[in-house]
Amino acid sequence: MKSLTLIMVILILSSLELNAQQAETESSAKDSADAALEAELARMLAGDDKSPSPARQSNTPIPAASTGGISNMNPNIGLIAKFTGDGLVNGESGEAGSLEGFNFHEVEFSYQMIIDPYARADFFVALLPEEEAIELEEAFITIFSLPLDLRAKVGIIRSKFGRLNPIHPPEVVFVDYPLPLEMYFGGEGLVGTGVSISYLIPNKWDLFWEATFEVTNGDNEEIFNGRATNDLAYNGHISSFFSVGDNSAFLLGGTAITGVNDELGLYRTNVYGVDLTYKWKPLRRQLYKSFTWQTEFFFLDKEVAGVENIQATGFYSYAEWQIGRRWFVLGRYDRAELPDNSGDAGQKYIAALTYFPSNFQTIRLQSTTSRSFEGESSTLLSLQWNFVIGSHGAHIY
Amino acid sequence: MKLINKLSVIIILIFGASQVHAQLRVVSTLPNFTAIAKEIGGDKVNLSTIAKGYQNPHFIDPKPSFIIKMKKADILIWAGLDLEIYWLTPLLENSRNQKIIWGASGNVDVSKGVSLLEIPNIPAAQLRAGGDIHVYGNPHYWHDPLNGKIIAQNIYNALVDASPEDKEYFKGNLEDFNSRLDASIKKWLKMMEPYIGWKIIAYHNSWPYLEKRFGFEIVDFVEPKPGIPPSPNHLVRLIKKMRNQDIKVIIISPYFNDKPANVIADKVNAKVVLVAPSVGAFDGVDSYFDMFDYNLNSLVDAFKSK
Repeated sequence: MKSLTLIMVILILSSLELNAQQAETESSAKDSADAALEAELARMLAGDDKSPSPARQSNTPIPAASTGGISNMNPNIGLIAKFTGDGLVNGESGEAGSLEGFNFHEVEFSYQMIIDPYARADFFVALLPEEEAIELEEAFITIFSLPLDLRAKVGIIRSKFGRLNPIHPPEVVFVDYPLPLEMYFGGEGLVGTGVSISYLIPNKWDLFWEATFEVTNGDNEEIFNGRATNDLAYNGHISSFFSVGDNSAFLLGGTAITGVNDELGLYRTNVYGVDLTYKWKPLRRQLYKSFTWQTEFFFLDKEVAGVENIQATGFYSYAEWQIGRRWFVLGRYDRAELPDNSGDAGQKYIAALTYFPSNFQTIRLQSTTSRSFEGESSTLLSLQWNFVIGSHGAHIY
Repeated sequence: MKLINKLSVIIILIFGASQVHAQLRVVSTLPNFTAIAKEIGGDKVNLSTIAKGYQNPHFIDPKPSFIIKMKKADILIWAGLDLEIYWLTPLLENSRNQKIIWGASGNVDVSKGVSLLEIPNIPAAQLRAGGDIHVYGNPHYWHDPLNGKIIAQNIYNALVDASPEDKEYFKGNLEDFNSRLDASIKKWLKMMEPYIGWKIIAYHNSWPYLEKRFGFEIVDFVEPKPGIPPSPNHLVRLIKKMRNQDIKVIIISPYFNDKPANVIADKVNAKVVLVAPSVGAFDGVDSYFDMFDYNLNSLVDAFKSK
């Protein structure tokens, strides 16, 4: 019922915006007569839901190479394949949490297209040979015509928790997920079905501050109850961006998510996160040099049928250097306390070398040393090969 | 009566201030378009640019600060085709700005009307065997000054659409720009006439429009395929070609590593010429005219020293 109400709210906001487009001042240079006429037309059209005015069409040409042919009505389609060969260097089989041998982890099809002047659709369908499963990794529409500088996503969404979780898996710069994400959210990270609304917070310094609020089903079985009840999960995220000259920037964010974790809906799990990223890339030599340092902290607080809550903290921190046009080296350290109040923690040490033969292939050699809370360690060597054919997604920062 | 006078002054001041604030806010992806928009828009526009002139326009980081810039824009000017698509898309769709979103009148793709070169005529399934091929044609069309007139016309149309009351002002500026550009084109063509058919090497395939307009001939590239860094084997082949055809000039944009080009130049006693891929690439290259003056003078100097 709550989710239905939310969707209704978004639909109403969306339709308000369609009508408000007439009233909106389209140019700061528009004279008052035009504004008065617009207001009059807006009043005349108010309530006429059958004839929303589309955004004004430009005379932007369709490039010659894409004109004609029904195939051009297809969305952008891409296929990304993720293949690894894994071998234990030391330790006992199974300890590293990954299968040895060759693994075709995933074949992902992406379908992306503008729906109409108000929204776009992004669908990612994954074939998972190891699990003999087909799943919708993400499937959402983005509505960019909402009033009040809002923007909404509706569908299956990777939750906006910190920096790494929202990133689409093929864009992740290592083979595995860091330990706190794996341990607290499960192997695929935190994904939910619902609504995400974001807002650019106005400020006199013209800085990028974005607030995101998400309401999803408690789909995740690792921290919530996997939809055993109709309780919803709520997520709030703030992200900010600060330039330091042309070549460097900091990103700072904070997240809080809450949902029920038991089959009766009595107890809640809250997870808090802080993320900090530093990026350096000289503009003139951007093809050849860059450096990224990213750290995220996780604080888990889980109510259980007992005296005290289960609490655990974890973090990961990685640094990635670009050493040539096609080469990157990366080091990462993870530490995450087990969610059992024992204070015991697992750790991971990662070293990776990544080579991009072109913009459409990634070859990565990664060494992952996992150390359990008992002090046992194992090292897994992985060779990952990702490639994309067809359309590939937009770049992210 | 004094009170009325004072009120009148205040009203005039407020009205005057609102006129100052009525400047159209124009954001361009590349400095070339900002330079031309400045010619047409004059003091009626407030201009800003996403990329620097010395950056590779294919790979601009979509920094969130650009979203704020685009959020406030009345007009977005971009090159179109697939040059900026991978970094412009997230910026534009996060800007929440209905004036410049896809399909809106403030979203100005200035490639409209340009006769594109090198539109690939090969099966789509084989396209990427050729490297980073642009599917709609070569997007560096601003290097033909005649295309500068088309870009200017597109910008003029957008400015008039957004602010029809300033039409005459924009029209005067457009006519002035076109007339100065016509005079410069004559000057540049005359300057390059002695070098028609002269052969050069380019690092990346960014220059077919400049080549076609001014008649020199780019016979090969330091990159074996667009976006693919050169292998030693390819450099050896280039050295042989340059020796056989007596080629003494290699042009390169400032955002590429010039080491391979310098290695070749050393072997065949050629000259590596830094050229401006955009307005703002170097100090003193501040206008669309400066860009051609700089590039063509650099080429002529290199040809003369041959």
